[in-house]
Amino acid sequence: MDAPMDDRTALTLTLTDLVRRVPGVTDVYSSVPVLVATVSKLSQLVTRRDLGPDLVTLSEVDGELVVAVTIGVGEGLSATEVCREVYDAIAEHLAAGTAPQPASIAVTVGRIG
Amino acid sequence: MTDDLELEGFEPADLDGHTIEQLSDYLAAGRQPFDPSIESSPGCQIALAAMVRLRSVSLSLLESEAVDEPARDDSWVAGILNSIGLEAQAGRSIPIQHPSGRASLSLTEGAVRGLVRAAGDSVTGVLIGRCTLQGDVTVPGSPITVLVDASVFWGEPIPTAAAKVREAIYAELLRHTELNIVAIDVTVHDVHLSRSLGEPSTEEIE
Repeated sequence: MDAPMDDRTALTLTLTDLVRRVPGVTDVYSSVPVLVATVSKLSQLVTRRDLGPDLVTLSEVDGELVVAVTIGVGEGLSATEVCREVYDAIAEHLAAGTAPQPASIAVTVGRIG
Repeated sequence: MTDDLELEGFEPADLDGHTIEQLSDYLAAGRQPFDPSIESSPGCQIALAAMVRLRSVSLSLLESEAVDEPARDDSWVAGILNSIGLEAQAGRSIPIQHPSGRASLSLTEGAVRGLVRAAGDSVTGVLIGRCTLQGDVTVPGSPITVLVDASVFWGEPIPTAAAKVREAIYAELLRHTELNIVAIDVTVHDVHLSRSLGEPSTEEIE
């Protein structure tokens, strides 16, 4: 079940990029804002893109993979529909790959508009 | 914007470690230097968006009341700022349905409150003071009542303004959520008029 850290990091990066490409998604938020805050103190030359390319969280609960992501959704499309499409995009990507199939994929809309 | 305004009931950890005063200062500085801990927080983003709208309205009010207005009461601004900070917190999880058993999809209560506030603020001459989702939003289909306090400016007829607020909020909730909205109660508790339009007054309707 345990994927090597490099593979997991690569998968996180891929999923984050995938989520960003779903129509209607305006932001992908970090689940570890305190860490980001610490990083920001180390460098004053931070830009929006430096917020982190690996914002989708992969973790294990009772030995099973759990995927979690928090997104912002724009005004143009229904937040509920965008949320479902983000789930579908992640599920389809994982189903087509060699990574362990997740027990749960949590998508949270943290901001609308 | 928060100079001399007292904000109560707000702790530093409420918005990913930031206070509403810090967000206000950040906004006043033109969001520079770029702060990732603020820009990567959905709660901070919701609060900042609401503060931008509040700032725009309060500046317009200041301009219209600049003449013959010796001592303005800014406590209403502090009250709205406090509500913005409290309501921007994530709060409860509002489920979104999906046929897959692996799916755990939700909206944060903070996102929906931010949506409600933005919809109300979008009505010309209206500023939302406080909004509450009354009912168990964590259970799909539960009857939910939206409670909104609002201020009305520039002589807009109160019943008309309340109706527009109600319509704008309902349309946005219908579009973006699966909540079972049974009522939207709008209480207009402040009316701010410029001297050219008449004397200030206060009315309340529900």
